[in-house]
Amino acid sequence: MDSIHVRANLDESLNALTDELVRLSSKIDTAVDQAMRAYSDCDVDLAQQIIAKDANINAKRFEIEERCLHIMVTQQPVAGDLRMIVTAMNIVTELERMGDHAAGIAKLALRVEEVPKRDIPNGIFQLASQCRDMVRRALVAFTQRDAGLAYAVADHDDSLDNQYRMLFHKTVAETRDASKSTDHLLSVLFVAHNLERIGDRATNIAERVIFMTSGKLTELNV
Amino acid sequence: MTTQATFQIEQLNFHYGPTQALRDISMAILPREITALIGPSGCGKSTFLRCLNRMNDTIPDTSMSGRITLEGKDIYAPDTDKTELRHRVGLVFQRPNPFPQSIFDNVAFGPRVLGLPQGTDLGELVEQSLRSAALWDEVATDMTGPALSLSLGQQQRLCIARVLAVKPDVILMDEPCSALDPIATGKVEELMRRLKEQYTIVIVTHSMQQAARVSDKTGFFWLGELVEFDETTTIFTRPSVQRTEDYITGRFG
Repeated sequence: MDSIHVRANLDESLNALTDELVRLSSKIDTAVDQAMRAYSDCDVDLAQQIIAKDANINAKRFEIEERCLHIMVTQQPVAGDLRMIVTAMNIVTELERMGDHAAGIAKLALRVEEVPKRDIPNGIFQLASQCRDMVRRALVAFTQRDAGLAYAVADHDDSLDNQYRMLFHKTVAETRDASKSTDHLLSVLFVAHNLERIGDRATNIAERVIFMTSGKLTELNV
Repeated sequence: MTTQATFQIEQLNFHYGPTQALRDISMAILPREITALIGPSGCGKSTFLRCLNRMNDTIPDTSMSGRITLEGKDIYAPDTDKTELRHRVGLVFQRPNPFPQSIFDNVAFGPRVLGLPQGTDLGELVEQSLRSAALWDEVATDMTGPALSLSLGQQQRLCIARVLAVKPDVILMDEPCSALDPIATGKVEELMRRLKEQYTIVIVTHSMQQAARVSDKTGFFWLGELVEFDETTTIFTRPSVQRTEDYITGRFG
Protein backbone atom coordinates (compact mmCIF):
# COMPACT_ATOMS: atom_id res chain seq x y z
CA MET A 1 0.00 0.00 0.00
CA ASP A 2 1.18 3.54 -0.76
CA SER A 3 1.40 6.04 2.07
CA ILE A 4 -1.82 6.69 3.94
CA HIS A 5 -3.25 10.15 3.55
CA VAL A 6 -5.12 10.66 6.82
CA ARG A 7 -7.15 13.58 5.51
CA ALA A 8 -8.25 11.88 2.31
CA ASN A 9 -11.81 11.36 3.49
CA LEU A 10 -12.16 14.88 4.86
CA ASP A 11 -10.59 16.48 1.80
CA GLU A 12 -12.92 14.54 -0.48
CA SER A 13 -15.91 15.64 1.58
CA LEU A 14 -14.84 19.29 1.56
CA ASN A 15 -14.20 19.25 -2.19
CA ALA A 16 -17.59 17.66 -2.84
CA LEU A 17 -19.22 20.30 -0.63
CA THR A 18 -17.52 23.08 -2.60
CA ASP A 19 -18.68 21.52 -5.88
CA GLU A 20 -22.26 21.36 -4.61
CA LEU A 21 -22.21 25.03 -3.66
CA VAL A 22 -20.80 26.03 -7.04
CA ARG A 23 -23.51 23.99 -8.78
CA LEU A 24 -26.21 25.61 -6.65
CA SER A 25 -24.84 29.10 -7.36
CA SER A 26 -24.95 28.31 -11.06
CA LYS A 27 -28.64 27.40 -10.70
CA ILE A 28 -29.25 30.73 -8.94
CA ASP A 29 -27.46 32.58 -11.72
CA THR A 30 -29.68 30.89 -14.30
CA ALA A 31 -32.80 31.59 -12.21
CA VAL A 32 -32.01 35.32 -11.96
CA ASP A 33 -31.21 35.52 -15.68
CA GLN A 34 -34.42 33.71 -16.64
CA ALA A 35 -36.52 35.71 -14.18
CA MET A 36 -35.36 38.93 -15.81
CA ARG A 37 -36.19 37.51 -19.24
CA ALA A 38 -39.60 36.35 -18.06
CA TYR A 39 -40.22 39.79 -16.63
CA SER A 40 -39.09 41.74 -19.68
CA ASP A 41 -40.80 39.41 -22.18
CA CYS A 42 -43.94 38.82 -20.08
CA ASP A 43 -43.18 35.11 -20.47
CA VAL A 44 -45.66 33.41 -18.18
CA ASP A 45 -44.46 29.87 -18.91
CA LEU A 46 -40.88 30.73 -18.11
CA ALA A 47 -41.95 32.58 -14.95
CA GLN A 48 -43.91 29.54 -13.78
CA GLN A 49 -40.96 27.27 -14.45
CA ILE A 50 -38.70 29.48 -12.32
CA ILE A 51 -41.22 29.49 -9.46
CA ALA A 52 -41.50 25.70 -9.66
CA LYS A 53 -37.73 25.26 -9.72
CA ASP A 54 -37.36 27.33 -6.56
CA ALA A 55 -38.61 24.30 -4.61
CA ASN A 56 -35.63 22.33 -5.99
CA ILE A 57 -33.28 25.07 -4.86
CA ASN A 58 -34.82 24.97 -1.37
CA ALA A 59 -34.44 21.19 -1.27
CA LYS A 60 -30.83 21.45 -2.40
CA ARG A 61 -30.14 23.89 0.42
CA PHE A 62 -31.26 21.32 2.99
CA GLU A 63 -29.27 18.60 1.24
CA ILE A 64 -26.12 20.72 1.46
CA GLU A 65 -26.81 21.53 5.11
CA GLU A 66 -27.20 17.81 5.81
CA ARG A 67 -23.86 17.25 4.10
CA CYS A 68 -22.24 19.88 6.36
CA LEU A 69 -23.75 18.29 9.47
CA HIS A 70 -22.52 14.89 8.36
CA ILE A 71 -18.96 16.18 7.98
CA MET A 72 -19.12 17.87 11.38
CA VAL A 73 -20.39 14.77 13.10
CA THR A 74 -18.12 12.28 11.41
CA GLN A 75 -14.91 14.29 11.03
CA GLN A 76 -15.06 16.82 13.88
CA PRO A 77 -13.32 19.49 11.82
CA VAL A 78 -11.38 22.28 13.52
CA ALA A 79 -9.61 25.50 12.57
CA GLY A 80 -9.66 26.22 8.80
CA ASP A 81 -11.78 23.13 8.06
CA LEU A 82 -14.35 24.14 10.65
CA ARG A 83 -14.45 27.72 9.34
CA MET A 84 -14.91 26.41 5.81
CA ILE A 85 -17.91 24.30 6.77
CA VAL A 86 -19.50 27.06 8.83
CA THR A 87 -18.98 29.35 5.83
CA ALA A 88 -20.55 26.79 3.51
CA MET A 89 -23.61 26.64 5.76
CA ASN A 90 -23.93 30.41 5.62
CA ILE A 91 -23.39 30.54 1.86
CA VAL A 92 -26.05 27.94 1.16
CA THR A 93 -28.58 29.98 3.14
CA GLU A 94 -27.69 33.12 1.18
CA LEU A 95 -27.97 31.26 -2.12
CA GLU A 96 -31.34 29.82 -1.19
CA ARG A 97 -32.63 33.32 -0.37
CA MET A 98 -31.28 34.57 -3.69
CA GLY A 99 -33.38 31.85 -5.29
CA ASP A 100 -36.38 33.32 -3.46
CA HIS A 101 -35.56 36.74 -4.90
CA ALA A 102 -35.41 35.26 -8.42
CA ALA A 103 -38.78 33.58 -7.81
CA GLY A 104 -40.05 36.94 -6.53
CA ILE A 105 -39.11 38.58 -9.82
CA ALA A 106 -40.76 35.72 -11.71
CA LYS A 107 -43.97 36.27 -9.73
CA LEU A 108 -43.92 39.92 -10.80
CA ALA A 109 -43.58 38.71 -14.41
CA LEU A 110 -46.91 36.89 -13.95
CA ARG A 111 -48.59 40.12 -12.89
CA VAL A 112 -47.30 42.48 -15.61
CA GLU A 113 -48.92 40.52 -18.41
CA GLU A 114 -51.84 42.87 -18.78
CA VAL A 115 -49.94 46.16 -18.54
CA PRO A 116 -49.81 47.82 -21.95
CA LYS A 117 -46.83 49.77 -23.34
CA ARG A 118 -44.31 48.74 -20.76
CA ASP A 119 -41.26 50.91 -20.52
CA ILE A 120 -38.65 48.97 -18.57
CA PRO A 121 -35.71 51.16 -17.59
CA ASN A 122 -32.39 49.96 -18.89
CA GLY A 123 -30.84 50.46 -15.45
CA ILE A 124 -32.70 47.45 -14.15
CA PHE A 125 -30.92 45.12 -16.57
CA GLN A 126 -27.62 46.66 -15.57
CA LEU A 127 -28.51 45.98 -11.95
CA ALA A 128 -29.29 42.37 -12.80
CA SER A 129 -26.07 41.91 -14.69
CA GLN A 130 -24.01 43.43 -11.88
CA CYS A 131 -25.62 41.49 -9.06
CA ARG A 132 -25.13 38.24 -10.99
CA ASP A 133 -21.51 39.18 -11.47
CA MET A 134 -21.15 39.85 -7.73
CA VAL A 135 -22.56 36.42 -6.89
CA ARG A 136 -20.22 34.71 -9.35
CA ARG A 137 -17.21 36.55 -7.96
CA ALA A 138 -18.23 35.88 -4.35
CA LEU A 139 -18.29 32.16 -5.17
CA VAL A 140 -14.88 32.39 -6.86
CA ALA A 141 -13.59 34.14 -3.72
CA PHE A 142 -14.95 31.17 -1.73
CA THR A 143 -13.51 28.44 -3.92
CA GLN A 144 -10.15 30.20 -4.30
CA ARG A 145 -10.09 31.35 -0.66
CA ASP A 146 -9.38 34.83 -2.00
CA ALA A 147 -10.02 37.50 0.67
CA GLY A 148 -8.96 40.27 -1.73
CA LEU A 149 -11.69 39.30 -4.18
CA ALA A 150 -14.18 39.11 -1.31
CA TYR A 151 -13.38 42.71 -0.36
CA ALA A 152 -13.76 43.71 -4.04
CA VAL A 153 -17.24 42.14 -4.13
CA ALA A 154 -18.24 44.16 -1.07
CA ASP A 155 -16.85 47.35 -2.64
CA HIS A 156 -18.93 46.69 -5.72
CA ASP A 157 -22.06 46.53 -3.60
CA ASP A 158 -21.69 50.28 -2.87
CA SER A 159 -21.95 51.01 -6.58
CA LEU A 160 -24.92 48.62 -6.92
CA ASP A 161 -26.68 50.36 -4.03
CA ASN A 162 -26.11 53.77 -5.65
CA GLN A 163 -27.56 52.58 -8.94
CA TYR A 164 -30.52 51.11 -7.10
CA ARG A 165 -31.15 54.40 -5.28
CA MET A 166 -31.02 56.38 -8.54
CA LEU A 167 -33.39 53.98 -10.24
CA PHE A 168 -35.68 54.06 -7.20
CA HIS A 169 -35.93 57.87 -7.10
CA LYS A 170 -36.40 58.11 -10.85
CA THR A 171 -39.18 55.51 -10.78
CA VAL A 172 -40.91 57.06 -7.78
CA ALA A 173 -40.83 60.42 -9.60
CA GLU A 174 -42.50 58.79 -12.61
CA THR A 175 -45.44 57.69 -10.50
CA ARG A 176 -46.55 61.37 -10.54
CA ASP A 177 -46.94 61.11 -14.29
CA ALA A 178 -50.60 60.19 -14.77
CA SER A 179 -49.89 58.67 -18.18
CA LYS A 180 -47.78 55.91 -16.63
CA SER A 181 -49.09 52.73 -15.06
CA THR A 182 -48.53 52.74 -11.32
CA ASP A 183 -48.73 48.95 -11.27
CA HIS A 184 -45.94 48.74 -13.79
CA LEU A 185 -43.75 51.27 -11.96
CA LEU A 186 -44.30 49.41 -8.70
CA SER A 187 -43.25 46.18 -10.35
CA VAL A 188 -40.06 47.91 -11.55
CA LEU A 189 -39.38 48.98 -7.97
CA PHE A 190 -39.98 45.47 -6.66
CA VAL A 191 -37.73 43.88 -9.27
CA ALA A 192 -34.99 46.42 -8.50
CA HIS A 193 -35.40 45.75 -4.80
CA ASN A 194 -35.02 42.00 -5.31
CA LEU A 195 -31.85 42.59 -7.31
CA GLU A 196 -30.44 44.95 -4.71
CA ARG A 197 -31.06 42.29 -2.04
CA ILE A 198 -29.20 39.74 -4.14
CA GLY A 199 -26.25 42.15 -4.12
CA ASP A 200 -26.48 42.41 -0.33
CA ARG A 201 -26.47 38.63 -0.06
CA ALA A 202 -23.40 38.42 -2.29
CA THR A 203 -21.76 40.81 0.17
CA ASN A 204 -22.79 38.53 3.04
CA ILE A 205 -21.03 35.69 1.24
CA ALA A 206 -17.96 37.92 0.88
CA GLU A 207 -18.00 38.56 4.64
CA ARG A 208 -18.09 34.83 5.27
CA VAL A 209 -15.17 34.26 2.90
CA ILE A 210 -13.18 36.77 4.95
CA PHE A 211 -14.13 34.83 8.10
CA MET A 212 -13.11 31.59 6.42
CA THR A 213 -9.71 32.91 5.35
CA SER A 214 -8.84 34.97 8.44
CA GLY A 215 -11.05 33.74 11.28
CA LYS A 216 -12.34 37.31 11.72
CA LEU A 217 -16.05 38.04 11.75
CA THR A 218 -16.40 41.35 9.92
CA GLU A 219 -19.31 43.34 8.64
CA LEU A 220 -18.64 45.00 5.31
CA ASN A 221 -20.59 47.95 3.93
CA VAL A 222 -22.22 48.86 7.25
CA MET B 1 -4.43 43.68 38.34
CA THR B 2 -3.00 40.66 36.57
CA THR B 3 -3.44 37.22 38.09
CA GLN B 4 -0.24 35.70 39.43
CA ALA B 5 0.62 32.60 37.47
CA THR B 6 0.61 29.30 39.33
CA PHE B 7 3.55 28.16 37.23
CA GLN B 8 5.82 30.55 35.39
CA ILE B 9 8.13 28.73 33.01
CA GLU B 10 11.05 30.63 31.52
CA GLN B 11 13.35 29.35 28.78
CA LEU B 12 13.10 25.76 29.86
CA ASN B 13 15.46 23.36 28.10
CA PHE B 14 15.64 19.66 28.87
CA HIS B 15 18.00 16.94 27.63
CA TYR B 16 17.91 13.14 27.83
CA GLY B 17 21.66 12.54 27.51
CA PRO B 18 22.63 14.31 24.28
CA THR B 19 19.05 14.48 22.99
CA GLN B 20 17.28 17.75 23.52
CA ALA B 21 13.64 17.10 24.43
CA LEU B 22 12.52 20.63 25.26
CA ARG B 23 13.68 23.87 23.69
CA ASP B 24 13.30 27.29 25.22
CA ILE B 25 9.82 26.78 26.59
CA SER B 26 8.31 29.87 28.20
CA MET B 27 4.72 30.00 29.34
CA ALA B 28 2.49 30.87 32.26
CA ILE B 29 -0.02 28.44 33.75
CA LEU B 30 -2.77 30.37 35.47
CA PRO B 31 -4.58 29.33 38.63
CA ARG B 32 -7.92 27.52 38.44
CA GLU B 33 -7.62 26.96 34.73
CA ILE B 34 -7.27 23.75 32.76
CA THR B 35 -4.26 23.90 30.50
CA ALA B 36 -4.09 21.20 27.82
CA LEU B 37 -0.87 20.18 26.13
CA ILE B 38 -1.19 18.57 22.71
CA GLY B 39 1.26 17.39 20.08
CA PRO B 40 2.46 14.21 18.38
CA SER B 41 4.20 11.43 20.31
CA GLY B 42 7.72 12.39 21.31
CA CYS B 43 7.09 16.13 21.05
CA GLY B 44 8.04 16.73 24.69
CA LYS B 45 4.68 17.37 26.28
CA SER B 46 4.96 14.61 28.91
CA THR B 47 8.58 15.56 29.62
CA PHE B 48 7.37 19.11 30.17
CA LEU B 49 4.60 17.91 32.47
CA ARG B 50 7.07 15.91 34.55
CA CYS B 51 9.35 18.96 34.87
CA LEU B 52 6.53 20.66 36.77
CA ASN B 53 6.87 18.31 39.77
CA ARG B 54 10.44 17.23 39.15
CA MET B 55 9.49 13.66 38.29
CA ASN B 56 12.26 13.72 35.68
CA ASP B 57 14.82 13.95 38.49
CA THR B 58 14.46 10.21 38.90
CA ILE B 59 15.68 9.58 35.32
CA PRO B 60 19.46 9.23 35.05
CA ASP B 61 21.56 11.27 32.63
CA THR B 62 19.13 14.13 32.17
CA SER B 63 19.80 17.82 32.40
CA MET B 64 17.64 20.88 32.58
CA SER B 65 18.15 24.61 32.28
CA GLY B 66 15.81 27.56 32.62
CA ARG B 67 13.49 28.40 35.45
CA ILE B 68 10.16 27.13 36.73
CA THR B 69 8.48 28.95 39.58
CA LEU B 70 5.46 27.74 41.52
CA GLU B 71 3.65 30.72 42.98
CA GLY B 72 6.84 32.73 42.64
CA LYS B 73 9.23 30.19 44.14
CA ASP B 74 11.85 28.45 42.01
CA ILE B 75 11.06 24.73 42.23
CA TYR B 76 14.57 23.81 41.10
CA ALA B 77 16.23 25.90 43.84
CA PRO B 78 18.62 23.80 45.96
CA ASP B 79 16.47 24.20 49.06
CA THR B 80 13.34 22.81 47.40
CA ASP B 81 11.78 19.94 49.28
CA LYS B 82 10.85 17.54 46.45
CA THR B 83 8.46 15.57 48.60
CA GLU B 84 6.58 18.70 49.51
CA LEU B 85 6.63 19.80 45.85
CA ARG B 86 5.07 16.51 44.72
CA HIS B 87 2.49 16.77 47.43
CA ARG B 88 1.56 20.26 46.17
CA VAL B 89 1.73 19.18 42.54
CA GLY B 90 0.02 15.81 42.18
CA LEU B 91 0.28 13.57 39.13
CA VAL B 92 -2.37 11.30 37.61
CA PHE B 93 -0.97 8.76 35.20
CA GLN B 94 -2.12 7.35 31.87
CA ARG B 95 -3.17 4.01 33.32
CA PRO B 96 -4.87 3.93 36.70
CA ASN B 97 -2.35 2.65 39.22
CA PRO B 98 -4.11 1.96 42.51
CA PHE B 99 -2.15 0.16 45.19
CA PRO B 100 -3.20 -3.47 45.78
CA GLN B 101 -4.99 -2.41 48.93
CA SER B 102 -8.48 -1.42 49.95
CA ILE B 103 -10.22 1.62 48.50
CA PHE B 104 -9.92 3.36 51.86
CA ASP B 105 -6.22 2.62 52.25
CA ASN B 106 -5.47 3.90 48.76
CA VAL B 107 -6.92 7.30 49.55
CA ALA B 108 -5.53 7.33 53.08
CA PHE B 109 -2.03 6.45 51.89
CA GLY B 110 -0.78 9.99 51.25
CA PRO B 111 -2.15 11.57 54.43
CA ARG B 112 -0.73 8.68 56.48
CA VAL B 113 2.74 9.06 54.95
CA LEU B 114 2.80 12.86 55.05
CA GLY B 115 1.09 13.11 58.41
CA LEU B 116 -2.39 14.32 59.05
CA PRO B 117 -2.85 17.97 59.93
CA GLN B 118 -3.86 18.30 63.58
CA GLY B 119 -7.56 17.95 64.21
CA THR B 120 -8.18 16.22 60.89
CA ASP B 121 -10.13 12.99 60.89
CA LEU B 122 -8.73 10.49 58.41
CA GLY B 123 -12.13 8.98 57.68
CA GLU B 124 -13.59 12.38 56.91
CA LEU B 125 -10.64 13.28 54.71
CA VAL B 126 -11.01 10.05 52.73
CA GLU B 127 -14.73 10.61 52.30
CA GLN B 128 -14.22 14.23 51.26
CA SER B 129 -11.58 13.20 48.72
CA LEU B 130 -13.78 10.46 47.28
CA ARG B 131 -16.70 12.88 47.06
CA SER B 132 -14.52 15.46 45.28
CA ALA B 133 -13.43 12.75 42.85
CA ALA B 134 -17.10 11.88 42.21
CA LEU B 135 -16.54 8.30 43.39
CA TRP B 136 -18.07 8.33 46.87
CA ASP B 137 -21.58 7.29 45.85
CA GLU B 138 -20.20 4.24 44.05
CA VAL B 139 -17.91 2.96 46.82
CA ALA B 140 -19.35 4.28 50.09
CA THR B 141 -20.93 0.95 51.02
CA ASP B 142 -17.71 -1.04 50.69
CA MET B 143 -14.63 1.01 51.41
CA THR B 144 -12.76 -2.10 52.52
CA GLY B 145 -13.12 -3.73 49.11
CA PRO B 146 -9.99 -4.09 47.00
CA ALA B 147 -9.25 -1.08 44.79
CA LEU B 148 -8.28 -3.40 41.96
CA SER B 149 -11.82 -4.78 41.80
CA LEU B 150 -13.10 -1.38 40.62
CA SER B 151 -13.64 -0.67 36.92
CA LEU B 152 -10.84 1.16 35.12
CA GLY B 153 -12.81 4.40 35.13
CA GLN B 154 -13.45 4.07 38.87
CA GLN B 155 -9.78 3.23 39.44
CA GLN B 156 -8.75 6.42 37.65
CA ARG B 157 -11.13 8.49 39.78
CA LEU B 158 -9.71 6.68 42.84
CA CYS B 159 -6.24 7.80 41.76
CA ILE B 160 -7.56 11.35 41.48
CA ALA B 161 -9.06 11.01 44.98
CA ARG B 162 -5.66 9.80 46.21
CA VAL B 163 -4.08 12.96 44.80
CA LEU B 164 -6.79 15.17 46.29
CA ALA B 165 -6.34 13.62 49.75
CA VAL B 166 -2.97 15.35 50.17
CA LYS B 167 -4.53 18.75 49.35
CA PRO B 168 -2.48 19.71 46.32
CA ASP B 169 -2.51 23.09 44.55
CA VAL B 170 -2.00 21.64 41.11
CA ILE B 171 -3.07 18.38 39.46
CA LEU B 172 -1.04 17.16 36.50
CA MET B 173 -2.71 14.56 34.31
CA ASP B 174 -0.77 12.56 31.75
CA GLU B 175 -3.31 11.21 29.24
CA PRO B 176 -5.69 10.34 32.09
CA CYS B 177 -8.44 8.97 29.85
CA SER B 178 -6.47 7.05 27.27
CA ALA B 179 -7.33 3.71 28.93
CA LEU B 180 -10.97 4.60 29.57
CA ASP B 181 -14.18 4.08 27.62
CA PRO B 182 -16.23 7.12 26.49
CA ILE B 183 -18.55 7.07 29.52
CA ALA B 184 -15.67 6.83 32.01
CA THR B 185 -13.86 9.52 29.98
CA GLY B 186 -16.92 11.76 30.21
CA LYS B 187 -16.99 11.30 33.98
CA VAL B 188 -13.32 12.22 34.35
CA GLU B 189 -13.79 15.26 32.10
CA GLU B 190 -16.79 16.41 34.10
CA LEU B 191 -14.76 15.87 37.26
CA MET B 192 -11.96 18.02 35.83
CA ARG B 193 -14.39 20.84 35.16
CA ARG B 194 -15.58 20.69 38.76
CA LEU B 195 -12.07 20.42 40.18
CA LYS B 196 -10.83 23.49 38.37
CA GLU B 197 -12.93 25.63 40.70
CA GLN B 198 -10.34 24.80 43.36
CA TYR B 199 -7.31 23.48 41.56
CA THR B 200 -5.01 24.33 38.69
CA ILE B 201 -4.97 21.45 36.20
CA VAL B 202 -2.50 20.64 33.46
CA ILE B 203 -3.43 17.78 31.15
CA VAL B 204 -1.46 16.05 28.43
CA THR B 205 -3.81 14.51 25.90
CA HIS B 206 -3.69 12.91 22.49
CA SER B 207 -7.36 13.62 22.01
CA MET B 208 -7.79 17.03 20.47
CA GLN B 209 -11.52 16.80 21.06
CA GLN B 210 -10.78 16.31 24.74
CA ALA B 211 -8.48 19.34 24.80
CA ALA B 212 -11.20 21.35 23.04
CA ARG B 213 -13.89 20.11 25.42
CA VAL B 214 -12.22 20.59 28.78
CA SER B 215 -9.42 23.12 28.63
CA ASP B 216 -9.24 26.89 28.91
CA LYS B 217 -5.81 27.16 27.29
CA THR B 218 -4.07 24.85 24.88
CA GLY B 219 -0.38 24.55 24.10
CA PHE B 220 0.81 22.81 20.96
CA PHE B 221 4.23 21.12 21.26
CA TRP B 222 6.25 19.98 18.29
CA LEU B 223 9.82 18.62 18.31
CA GLY B 224 10.36 19.94 21.82
CA GLU B 225 9.14 23.44 21.04
CA LEU B 226 6.02 25.17 22.24
CA VAL B 227 4.75 26.23 18.83
CA GLU B 228 1.62 28.02 19.99
CA PHE B 229 -0.09 28.64 23.31
CA ASP B 230 -3.42 30.41 23.44
CA GLU B 231 -7.06 30.28 24.46
CA THR B 232 -8.45 26.86 23.51
CA THR B 233 -11.21 28.41 21.39
CA THR B 234 -8.62 30.37 19.43
CA ILE B 235 -6.40 27.34 18.90
CA PHE B 236 -9.27 25.26 17.52
CA THR B 237 -10.96 27.95 15.42
CA ARG B 238 -8.22 30.28 14.21
CA PRO B 239 -4.73 29.23 15.27
CA SER B 240 -2.12 31.80 14.37
CA VAL B 241 0.68 29.41 13.44
CA GLN B 242 0.36 27.32 10.27
CA ARG B 243 2.03 24.32 11.91
CA THR B 244 -0.65 24.25 14.61
CA GLU B 245 -3.35 24.37 11.95
CA ASP B 246 -1.63 21.59 10.02
CA TYR B 247 -1.41 19.39 13.12
CA ILE B 248 -4.93 19.86 14.44
CA THR B 249 -6.45 19.41 11.00
CA GLY B 250 -4.51 16.18 10.49
CA ARG B 251 -2.14 17.40 7.79
CA PHE B 252 0.83 15.95 9.69
CA GLY B 253 1.65 14.14 12.91
